[in-house]
Amino acid sequence: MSYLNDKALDRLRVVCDTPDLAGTRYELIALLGRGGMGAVFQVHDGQLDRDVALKVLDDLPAAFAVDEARLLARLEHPGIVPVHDSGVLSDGRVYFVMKLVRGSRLDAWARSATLAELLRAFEKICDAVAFAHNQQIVHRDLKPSNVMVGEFGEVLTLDWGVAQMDSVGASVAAGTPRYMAPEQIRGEADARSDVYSLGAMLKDVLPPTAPAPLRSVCSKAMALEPALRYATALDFRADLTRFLDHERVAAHPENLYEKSVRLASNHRVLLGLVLAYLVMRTVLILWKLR
Amino acid sequence: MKKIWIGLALGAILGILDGSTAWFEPAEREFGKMMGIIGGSVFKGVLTGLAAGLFARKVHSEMKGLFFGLVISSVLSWGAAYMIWTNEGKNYFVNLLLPGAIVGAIVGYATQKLPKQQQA
Repeated sequence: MSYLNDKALDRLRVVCDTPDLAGTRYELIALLGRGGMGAVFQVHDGQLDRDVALKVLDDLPAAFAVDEARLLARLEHPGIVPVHDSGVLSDGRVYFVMKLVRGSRLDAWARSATLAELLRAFEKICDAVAFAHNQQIVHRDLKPSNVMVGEFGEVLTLDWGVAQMDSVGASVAAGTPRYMAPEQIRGEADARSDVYSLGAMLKDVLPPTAPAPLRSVCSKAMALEPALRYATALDFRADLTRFLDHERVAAHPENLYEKSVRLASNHRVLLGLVLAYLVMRTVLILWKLR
Repeated sequence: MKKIWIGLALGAILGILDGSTAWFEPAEREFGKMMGIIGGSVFKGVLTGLAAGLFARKVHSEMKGLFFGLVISSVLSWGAAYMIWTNEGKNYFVNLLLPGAIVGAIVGYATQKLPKQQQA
């Protein structure tokens, strides 16, 4: 009796994963990545003559494909990767065809981004998530690898494969444990679970030297008790905007020193002019009195 | 219109404060002299504030406002120093021009910055 070696097993896995696109208008180009829910491939749409991303979901029953596709199709927003098409492969697996995003994953991009750029990107993510929440849709798997920053600075939230109608609720725990809210692990996800994930994402990509107010924003978003978190993704965004505008963030009770530093930073030009005036006037008075 | 009122108010207040610093020079401490200096300083500040307010209505840039105020106030201060020099023979060019230019810069900058823009 002989056993398959690792190389042969890997090869077998690739062959099994490779979708059979016969009968569709798509032609396989390359595997882009593999996650917990399935694999994403770069394919060519022969009908429209363009490259798109095709995601094959491993465990989603075909019966849910239409509902899922309709749910995702409702998410028309500049910050959400649009779904162009969906269907069922010959082996019964469900696939979604989406816009092919060229760029970097948020965590990779964050390493070279400034703090302000990073927070502006998070504002866009919050906008997209808030839009979905407004449509009663919860993402349930927000994490840095599910956000792409495009070549022109566009920020796109993807992988809405485990998204679910808020009213339906989650019957099973789905997502990535590191970014999952405690109640989501118990299978009770709602919009505030996404707020927790946003906080966990921000905490993950922030540099170790991040200012205290930003760490407080993350802590508030990641409160174990949902009622203690930001009520909405827009509230979370508002605190980030306040930080960027040198205003006091709601999550951080600042002391006198922090307040002074913030105000001085906010009015540094005016402060510099006043100081220059005082120095100038003092020198002139002393010069006259000499 | 709000910008013009802000410019006028800032110019007047800073003019009073700037003129009042003459009190630190014993030679100028006499009441009549002080009133003359403060009055002139307020007049200069109000003119700068008016110009800065009108400028702020057309141009929305804090730095451009700063330089505009600086230039206007420098010209007015130079004019005031020139008049004193011609009439009384005293040289106040440095004393008026340098602090006056900074006061003008403050008026120009603050007129652009105030009131704080409300986010939509």
